[in-house]
Amino acid sequence: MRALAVVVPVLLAAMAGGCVHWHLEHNAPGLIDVHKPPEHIAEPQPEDPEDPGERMLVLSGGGLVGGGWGAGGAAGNRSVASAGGEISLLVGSTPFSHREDNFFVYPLTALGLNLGWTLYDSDGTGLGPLYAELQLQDLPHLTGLAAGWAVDPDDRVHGPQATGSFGPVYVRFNYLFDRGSALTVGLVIKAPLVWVWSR
Amino acid sequence: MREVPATGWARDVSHPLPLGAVAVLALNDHWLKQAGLVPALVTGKLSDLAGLFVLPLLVMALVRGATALARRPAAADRAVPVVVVAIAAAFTAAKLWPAGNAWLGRWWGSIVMDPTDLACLPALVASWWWLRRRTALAALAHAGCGTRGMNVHSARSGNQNEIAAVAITAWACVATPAPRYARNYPAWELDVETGRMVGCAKVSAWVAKSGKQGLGVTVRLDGLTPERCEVRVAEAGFTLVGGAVVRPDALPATTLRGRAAPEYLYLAFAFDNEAAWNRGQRQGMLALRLTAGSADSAEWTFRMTHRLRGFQRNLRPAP
Repeated sequence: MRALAVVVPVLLAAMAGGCVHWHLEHNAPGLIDVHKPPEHIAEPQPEDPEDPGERMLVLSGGGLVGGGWGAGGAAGNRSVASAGGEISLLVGSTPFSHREDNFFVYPLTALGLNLGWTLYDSDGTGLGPLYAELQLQDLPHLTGLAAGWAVDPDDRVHGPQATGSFGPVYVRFNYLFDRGSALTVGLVIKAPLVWVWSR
Repeated sequence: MREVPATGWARDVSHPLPLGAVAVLALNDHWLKQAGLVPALVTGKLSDLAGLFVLPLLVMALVRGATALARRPAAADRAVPVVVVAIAAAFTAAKLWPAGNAWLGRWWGSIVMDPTDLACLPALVASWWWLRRRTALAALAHAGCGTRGMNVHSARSGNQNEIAAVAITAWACVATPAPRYARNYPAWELDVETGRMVGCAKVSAWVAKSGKQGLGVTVRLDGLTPERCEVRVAEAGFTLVGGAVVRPDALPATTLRGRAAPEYLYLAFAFDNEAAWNRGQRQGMLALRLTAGSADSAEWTFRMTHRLRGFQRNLRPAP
């Protein structure tokens, strides 16, 4: 309980500070049908253009904590636990522009790269594997899919890794040659920094 | 505090706890959000938490009222899960699904599409718990614990209180403020006063359209004489500094019928304005020559600038 009292405010502060966005001027004009006269031709000001939507570059960082099951390798069937950090760089878009009222400015669909390090891994010795994944995010369905390669420099093992996420919950499967496979379920929390420009 | 069993149609709302949530909702929407005293993270979520708690109670009050009129009051309790699940589904659709947000926004008013608001959904569980608790208390009252001895006067004043509670709750739920900000776009502006005279007409112009596909200029013509007068744009061009001259789609003409009403002409200059913006070409020149009756104007030139006055505009600026 005492740990929660420390962790929850720290996480909220990190998220409140981290959900920051900046505007870029690129492509800023809106959509118009220039050949058609304005609807209210007597109005002495420009008509509002149509919204072209936005593109976003997202740099996010955070942590993952999970546990699950492992099989294969010298250790055989076992339970596993892991915790680590991850940085993601994603490019995405939304069909409509955000408003400054929105707390959460984020692309509806995005594609990018995850770079992570499993700092604690109950499998293996020392620190856990480093990994790189290609990620696809689909915000309307709260889902993300990522696939890549993990390398454990201490134990000199490597292999494929795939991660699926639903909101803050992730499921990760990896198979490191000579160590076996592990399926981990856990929580991921990341704070995004977002650069926004027009489509 | 011992809770008095209530049996009325609006029993779920007419209690200090939900009315307190209504007060939080109203204060947050109509004061805290504008005051800037609390971060948007807090005010945004506070409205959703209070709203999700109160809305099922309001809907259930209306359902209870309808089923009481139909003399089938027991049917209302069966509607509780349907109401709560329907509100959860609508809220989720509004926060995650662009088409759902647009459709609900047409009825409810603009809804901010923020998936992190889904963290407020547990308020519906509290609402469900409250509805079940009030139903259980009402059942106790019917069994003989609370309503015996209630006279006609207290029943009538109780009904008035319930109507007032439902009306206040409905107002707090419906009168949510529209979003304060909207995206702003750059627009070409004429840097100089455009009022000019030519023959029978006074001429003024402004930018009516500005976007990726070019810009459009409206020319207003006011008659200076009582006679009919033919006015024609004889020549027009828009030149980006360092670029070629863009000619309008057409050179329009009109007839002024005396001083009565102004006439308007529209000039469309189609060019890749987005590319010009991205290249930093944000200065231009509008050239116009008009004929009015037998008079011919000299070529007028007006300096123009493509400006973005802030990425977002405040739709409700302080007076």
